[in-house]
Amino acid sequence: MRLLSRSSLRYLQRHPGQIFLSIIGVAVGVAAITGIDLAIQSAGRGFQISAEQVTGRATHRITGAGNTIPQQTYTALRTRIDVKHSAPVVEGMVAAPGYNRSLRLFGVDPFVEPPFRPYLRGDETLNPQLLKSFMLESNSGILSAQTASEMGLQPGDTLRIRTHGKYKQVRIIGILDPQSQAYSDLLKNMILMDISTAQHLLEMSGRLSRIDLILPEDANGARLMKRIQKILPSSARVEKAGTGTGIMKELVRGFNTNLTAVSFLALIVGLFLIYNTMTFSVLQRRRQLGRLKALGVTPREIFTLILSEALVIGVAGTLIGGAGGIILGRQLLGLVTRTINDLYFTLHVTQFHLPVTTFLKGLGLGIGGTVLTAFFPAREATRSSPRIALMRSGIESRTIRRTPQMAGAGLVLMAGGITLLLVPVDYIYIGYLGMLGVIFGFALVIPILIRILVHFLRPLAGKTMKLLGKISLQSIVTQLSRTAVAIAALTVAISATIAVSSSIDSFRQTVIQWLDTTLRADVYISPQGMISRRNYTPMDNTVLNIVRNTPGVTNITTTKYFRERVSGHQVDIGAVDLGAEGYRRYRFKSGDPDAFWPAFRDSALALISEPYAYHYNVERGDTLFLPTAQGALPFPVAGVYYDYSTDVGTVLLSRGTYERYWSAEGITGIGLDAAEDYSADTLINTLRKRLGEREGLSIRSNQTLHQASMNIFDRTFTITTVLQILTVLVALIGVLSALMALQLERTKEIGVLRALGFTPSQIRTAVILQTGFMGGIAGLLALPLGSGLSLVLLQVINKRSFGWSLQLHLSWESLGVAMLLSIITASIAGIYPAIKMAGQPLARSLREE
Amino acid sequence: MITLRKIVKHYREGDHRHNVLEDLDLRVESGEIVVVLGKSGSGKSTLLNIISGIDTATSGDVRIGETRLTSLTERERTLFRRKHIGFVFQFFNLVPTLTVTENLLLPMELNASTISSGFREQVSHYLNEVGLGDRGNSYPDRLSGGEQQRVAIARSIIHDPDLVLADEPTGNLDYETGKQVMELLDRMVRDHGKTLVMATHSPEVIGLADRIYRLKGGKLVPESGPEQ
Repeated sequence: MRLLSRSSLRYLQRHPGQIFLSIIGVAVGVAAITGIDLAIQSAGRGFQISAEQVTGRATHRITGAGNTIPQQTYTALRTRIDVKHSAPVVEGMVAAPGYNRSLRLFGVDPFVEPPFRPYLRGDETLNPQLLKSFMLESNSGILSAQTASEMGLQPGDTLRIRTHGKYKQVRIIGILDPQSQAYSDLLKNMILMDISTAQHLLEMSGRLSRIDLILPEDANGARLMKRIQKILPSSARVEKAGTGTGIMKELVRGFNTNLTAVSFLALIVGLFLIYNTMTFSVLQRRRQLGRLKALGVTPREIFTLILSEALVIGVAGTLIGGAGGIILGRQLLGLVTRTINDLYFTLHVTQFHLPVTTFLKGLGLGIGGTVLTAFFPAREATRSSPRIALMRSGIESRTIRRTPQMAGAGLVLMAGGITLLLVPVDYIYIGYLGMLGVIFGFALVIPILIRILVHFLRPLAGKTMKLLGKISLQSIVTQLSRTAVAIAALTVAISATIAVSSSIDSFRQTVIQWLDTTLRADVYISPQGMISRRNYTPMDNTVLNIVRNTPGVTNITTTKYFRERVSGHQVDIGAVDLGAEGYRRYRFKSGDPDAFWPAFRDSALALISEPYAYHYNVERGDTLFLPTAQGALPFPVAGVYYDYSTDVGTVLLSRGTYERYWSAEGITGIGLDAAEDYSADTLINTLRKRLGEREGLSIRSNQTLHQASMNIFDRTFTITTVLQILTVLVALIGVLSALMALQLERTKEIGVLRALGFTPSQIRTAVILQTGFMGGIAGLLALPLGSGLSLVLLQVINKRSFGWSLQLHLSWESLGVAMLLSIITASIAGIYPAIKMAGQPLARSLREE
Repeated sequence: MITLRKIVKHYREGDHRHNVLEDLDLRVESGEIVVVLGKSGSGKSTLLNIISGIDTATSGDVRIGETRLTSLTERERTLFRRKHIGFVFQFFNLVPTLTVTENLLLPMELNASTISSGFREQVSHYLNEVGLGDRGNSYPDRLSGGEQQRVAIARSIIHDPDLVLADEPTGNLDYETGKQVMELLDRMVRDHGKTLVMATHSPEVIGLADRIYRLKGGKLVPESGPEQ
C-alpha cells in the first residue's frame, strides 16, 4: 500500500491547480458556515452578557404587567416576608446623542445589591466616599472605566442623555474599574445610578422595573415562593431568572434559521464541488486505476486510496476554511448585530466569541462532507472492471446508457424531498432535508436533460456557428460523465442564486405592498431612537396635546407597543387608537373586519399578527390570556392580520381596552393626516417648530418612513447578499475547477484539431464556446430548480422561520440575469484552459496519451 | 517538392541538451512516396512535425513548394498546414466528439469559406473508397482500430492536400490489419497523386516506397529500396 499512497501523492502533486481549487472550494464553504455560526454565537454571547447585567446572581425575579410593578410590592416583600435577599431594579435604555450610542440606565439600591451584583461591593469597586455621592447627589451616575474611556468622560464631567423625548444632564461621579474582565464586560454601556435617580430620569416615580430575588433551592425556597405569590398584586408574577438567553433565542430564532438556511445552500454547492473534483480525479485516472486492478490491487484498496485523497483535500480545506471563517465571522458579526438591533432588541457585542462547537461543526461538515461525497466516485472506481476502466468510450457510453435510470432515481429523490417539505411540522431541519432531496434529485435528472437539450440545440448551433459550434456542443454529450457533473454544480449554484435573490425580491414586493396598506397617515411622530426597530420608549405626555392643537392636523391615530410574556412567550402587545376606519390599515388573513371592528374598539378583543398565529398555533376564535394589571384575563382573538414589521408575535388591542385593563398611559407613535389646504411638508415644519424643545422626536412624512422602512429591509438582507456572493464564489471555483479539468483532458483532441489546421484563436473560441454552452445549459436548467427553491425558501424555510406568508415574485429580469451569470461564469472558467490549450506546444499535445 | 536543409533540432532536459536532428538534409519530389525508418526515439516524429510546421527546427530551412515554412508565423504555418498537408497518426487521432462523416467534413469545412452541399457527397465517395460507406454516422470509439485508421487516411486526403504525412500508421494495428491499411494508403496516395512522407519502424512497408531513408544519429541515411 505504500507505493499506492506514493502514486496517489504524486497524482495530487501533478495536478496542483485542480487540487488547489478544490481545497479553496471546500475552504469557502466551511468559511461561510463557520463565519455565520461564529457571528451568531458571538451575538448570543453578547446577549448573554447583557442578560447577566440585568439578572446578576438572582435566582428569581418579580415582574409586572407593562414591565413595571408598584414600589409598594417591594416594601411589602421586605416587611411582610422574610426574604433574605431581594433587590429593586429600575432600568431602561437611554440615548447618549453626542456619542451616537445607547446606554442601559441601571438604578439600584446599593445597600441590598452586593449579593446580586458583586461588582458593586465596596471591597470590589464602590468605595464609601463614592457610595455617599452615589446616594446623595441628584442626577449622578457611574460608568465603567472602559465605557468612560471610549466616551472620553472623566469623573466630574456631565453627560447629556435623552429619555422620553427629553434631554437630561447626568453628572459622572465615579468610574468603576473591576479587575475581572467578565465584570468589565458586564458593565459595558451601562450607567449605574441610585434607584431614586433612575426613577426620576425614567419617569417611573413610585414604580420599579422588577425585583430581583435570591431564593434557596430547597423546600424553604418553595415555601417562600408560595408566600411571595400570595402578597403580589394580580398584575405581578414571580419567574425564574436567567431566561435572558432563552428570550434572545426565541426572538432571533427566525433570523438565525434563515441565515443558516442560506449558508446551508453554500455548503451544498461546496459539497457538489467536492463530488465534482473526486469524480474527475477518478475519471482522469481510469487507465491508471484499471492497470492497478489488472495488477491485482483490490477494490477495497482503491476505495481507501480515493477516500484518503478526499481526506487530504477535506482536512486542508477545512483548516483554511476555519481560519477564513474567523475573519469572515468578525465581519459578519457587525451585520448580524445591526440586524438584531434593527429588528429585535438593543445589543452590544464587545467580544468575538470562538466556541469549540462551531469549529467541531466546521470540521464535521468540511471533512465529513468531503469524505461522504467522495464515497460515490470511490465506489464507482472500485466497481468497473479493469477492461472497462481502461476504455474511455466504455465510461461515456455507460453514462449515456444510465441516464434514464439516473433520472428515475432523481425523480424519486425529488418526490421524497417534496414530501418532506410538505410535512406540516415546525421543525426546520426537516425542511433542510427536503431541500437537499430536491437539489440532489434534480442533479440526477440533469444528464438526461442535457442530452435532450443538446439534441434540440445542435442543428441550431451548427447553422449559426458552423463546425466550431457543432463540435463544442456535441462534445458536451460525448463527454457526459464529466460535463454532467460540472453542469450540475453550476446549475445548483445558479439555482441557489435565483432562489435567494427571488425570495428577497418576493419578500421586498410583499413588504412594499404591505407598507402601502399600512402607512396611510400623512405624517408619523415617534421617539427618535439610536436604533430603528419598533420603538418601545413612550413619548412625553404633552406631545399628543400639542399635536391635537396644531392647525391643519386631522385624523390622529396613536399606538403604544410594549414587550410582554404571554403564555411563556416573549411577544409584543400593541394598543391602537385608529378611528372608525382604522381597520383599513390592516390586511386580514382571517376574520371579517367589518363585523369585528366596532366591537374591537370597545371590548376586550384581540387581534394577532400572522407570525403570532403561526408560531404559537393560535387561530381566530381562540382565547388569549394576557397579563393585565388585574391579572391574567381572557381576550378572544377576533382576527389574524398580516404584519411584516417584525417576526416577533404581536397582539393588538384597542387603546380603550388597554387603558381599561392595564391602567397605563403613554404612546409610542402618532399618525396624522394633513387637512385640506395643508401639505404634509408644511405640517411637518409646523410640528417641528411647535415640538421644538422635544428634540428627541422623529417627525417623518409617509414617504420618508416608507423609505426608512425599506432601508432597514435592505440592510437586513445585506448579510444574505454576502452569503449569496459566497455561494456564487464557491460555484465559480467549482465550475472553474471542473471546466479546467475537462478542457485539460481534451489536450490530445485539441492537438489533433490544431494539426488539422485549427488556428489557436479557433481553439480558444471552441473551448470558450463549449464552456459557454455548458453555462447556457446550466442556466436553462437552473430556471426551474431555482424557481422551485425560491418557493421552498419562501413557503417552507421563511414560513417556518418567521411565520410570514409571502407570495413568490419571479421577474424575467432576475431570471435573465441568472442565465447571463451562468453563461459568463462558465465562459470565464473557460478562459484559462482556452489560453493554455491554444498556446501549448502542439507536438507535445499529440504525444499525450 | 519538399526541401529540408541543414535541419538541427535540440531539446533541453534540465542541464542536458538532447540532439535529435543534426544537419539533416532531405529533398522529396512531388508524387513521391518516401519512407523514413528508425528506432523508437530516433526523431522520426520530430522530423514529420518539423515538415508540417507543428514543431519548429532549432536551425535550418524547410521549404514546401514555393513556401519557406521556417519564415512563417505560427498562424501562417497553421493556415498552410490546413490547406496543403494531410495527416495520418499512429493513434488515429479522430476527433471523438464528431461522427465519422463529420471527421471527414472537418478539413473541407476548415478550408472552405462556405459549406457546400457537395461536401457530403464527397465524404460519401471517400468513405465508400475506404470501405466504410455504412459507418458515416458512427462515432470513432465505435470503430475498430483498422476502421479508424481507414477513416484517418480518407481524412488526410479529402481536402486535396499536396503532401500527406504518416507517422507510424500501422504502429497500433495487428500485422494483417496493418498490411491492409498500408495497401489502402498506398493506393489512395497514388490514385490521388499525392506526395507521402511516412515514418515507421516496420520494414514491411519497404515494398511500397519510392525511396527509403534510415534516421540514425540525427541524420538521414539512404537505404537500398526498390529504386535505389
